[in-house]
Formats: sequence, C-alpha cells, structure tokens
Amino acid sequence: MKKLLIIVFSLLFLGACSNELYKYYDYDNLLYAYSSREFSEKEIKKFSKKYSRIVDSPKGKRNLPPPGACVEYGYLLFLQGKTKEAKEYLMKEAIIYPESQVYVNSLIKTLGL
Amino acid sequence: MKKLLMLLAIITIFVSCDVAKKIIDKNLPQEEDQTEDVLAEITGEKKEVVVDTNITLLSKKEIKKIKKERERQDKIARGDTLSFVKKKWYQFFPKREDRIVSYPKMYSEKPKSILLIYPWNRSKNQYASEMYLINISKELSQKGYYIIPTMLTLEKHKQDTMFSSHYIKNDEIRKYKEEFGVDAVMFLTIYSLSKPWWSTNINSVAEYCLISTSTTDTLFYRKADFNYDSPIPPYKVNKSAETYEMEPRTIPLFGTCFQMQRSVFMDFPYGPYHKKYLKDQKKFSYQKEMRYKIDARPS
Repeated sequence: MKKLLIIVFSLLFLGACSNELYKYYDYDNLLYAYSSREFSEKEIKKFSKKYSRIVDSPKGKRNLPPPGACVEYGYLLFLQGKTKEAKEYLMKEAIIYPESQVYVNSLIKTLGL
Repeated sequence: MKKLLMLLAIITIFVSCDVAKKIIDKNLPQEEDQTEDVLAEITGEKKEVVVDTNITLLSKKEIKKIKKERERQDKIARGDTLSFVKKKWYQFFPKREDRIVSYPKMYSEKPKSILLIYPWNRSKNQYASEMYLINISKELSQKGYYIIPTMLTLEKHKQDTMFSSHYIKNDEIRKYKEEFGVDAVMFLTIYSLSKPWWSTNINSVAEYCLISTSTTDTLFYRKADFNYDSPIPPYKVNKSAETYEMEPRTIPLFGTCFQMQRSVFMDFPYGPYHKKYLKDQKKFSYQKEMRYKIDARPS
C-alpha cells in the first residue's frame, strides 16, 4: 500500500513538473496529414473540427493556444468560407502575440478579409 | 642459331630506332627565342638586363626548418593553436562553454519571432521537410519564441517553390522583416533521414542556421548527425479515433525527427515567453557540430 502511494505521489509530482508552455494535442498528426494529403472541402470541415481543440481548450503553463494556432485555425475557417470568424481568430492571434501583428495584417490583406 | 639470329635482329631494330629518332630530332627546326622589345627599339631606350645571380642553395636542415615555420604560420592563420595533446583531450572531454560565449548575438539582438523557411531536402525521404518543420516549430515554441504558422509556410511553398532554403540568398533576408515582421529566419538543409532495411538504426543529418533579419548575422548554427537505435519507439503515437493516423513506416522517422530537435535545441537560449528568458546565459552549450547517438539495444 505504501509503495503504491509513493508511486502515485511521484507520478503526480512529475506530472505537475511538466515544463511545457503549450499543449499541442494531436497537432503532429493533423499537420502531417495536411501536408501529405489533398483535402476536399468536406474534409477541410472535418479537419478544422479536429483542429479546434488546440485553439479552444488551451492547456500548458501559459494556458494559451500555441503560437500560430489561431492563424492556422482562422485560415481553415477562411477555406470554408467563414470569413467573419476567420478574421476574428486572426485578430485574436495578434492580441495574444503582438509580434504577429505585421504578419496578420498582411495575411488579412492577401486573403481579402 | 635461330635464337641468336632473332636476338641480333631485335637489337638491330632497337638500335636503328634510336638512330632514326636522333636524325629526326636533328633535322627538326629548332625553336629560337626571337621576341624583341619593339617598343624599346622605336623609342631608343635601353633596358637593364636583369640577371638572377643570387641563388642560394639551402641545406636539407634549413629547408625542413622553413617548411616547419610555414606550417606553423598556416596553423596560426587557421586559428588552430592547440597542441596535439590538448586537442585530443578536448576531443574526449570537451571544454564547457557558456551560452553567452557560444551565442552572443542571440543575447544582444534578442529575437522574438522566427520564420522557418521551407527546408532544402537533400535526403531521399519525400516528406522529410514536413517532418522537420512540424517538429522544429513545436520545439522552438516551447522554448518561448513566436514561430510563423507552419501550415501557412507549407502553403507558401506550395504556391511558390522558390520559397525554400535552397534558393533564398542571404541578401534577400531583410525583406522578410517587412513581409512577416520577423526578427530572425531559420535556414535548414536536410542531408539524410533514413532507416536502412538491414539495420535497426535510424540516421538523420541536418544543418541549422538562424540569421537575423536586421543585421544578417548568424545567431545560431548547428550541424547535427543524429542516430536512434533502440527498440523503444522514439515517439508516442496518438491513436485516438479523432485524429489522422500516420503510416506505420513514417512513425519511427517522424519520432527520430522529434527526438533530434529536442537534442539540437537543448542548449538554444530561451525566448521571451519563457520564464528563464535571458537567465540562461551561464548555462552549458554544445559544439557547433554535434553527433548524437541514442543506443539502447538490449544486450
């Protein structure tokens, strides 16, 4: 019983010590799939639904979506024709990360939002 | 008798050949140096005839001495001033260098945002660039930097294949400051990412170069040769039904790529979003060219 308690406590301690600033969930799989496959419009809808978890339920030490995630999600929304929401997410990125201001502005211009 | 005759015939042939050659050489027109200084003839100037008369013959000892001296000067010019013993010592026990010494410009320029330029893929793996980009962007974000979204970098490369580390030159970097507002740009060349069928080892070689967009100085450089040889998978696969599954043969390669970035950027100075930002100046740093090997095969 004692040993079990020690193991549980050490696991909890190690879990709390996680040094990660952001939680990426299944970002690797999603982005690798995006880069190696051709997606149809329907599939993009599915894809953005899966991606939304990274943006909408952030975890990690900063408790914010990782850098670039809002822009990527905004871009996926733009591909579905949801321009208003797309612009909102792009603006959100510029607020969270002020370094992205120049990039976000140029992207809004090129996408015509 | 026959043999004697044969020998004589051969000798006469050889002799006649030699005689014939001598006659031909004699009759050939001899080349003479007929060049004259026409200008001097017209102007009436008399040119001094320079005769190289000071020829000093050096002894073998002196020649050796001069050779040694020249080699020493070459070594100093190359910056190779360590003795053989010290060099061997540092090869096995490398000298500890602080990050402020290894990457002084990272601390003076303080870049906050980085653009990962599409890698120059010289390996045989078709998707090596994508694997590297995804893993590097994640690693640098966790270090506290703002990384320009990878998905849009990939899109940009799809639209314009010239947007690659292969084609972009150093003097074109400044334009990325205006276009993307980034402080630094990372160039990447992938030399190999492969797993031979006869081995359990996965090898990956790449060169990283981070360049400032305001001064075009190199902020960070590393060439890494990474080997992963272990039955423990290098990467934990997300098997939830909600995500897209990778091909089974790409998983170990992707995992090796992931492990490699962890090792390569282990001594990378922390970015502005990390609590250790500018506080890690006296921490260790690795050499510019590194060889990593994770070998955990059961004995």
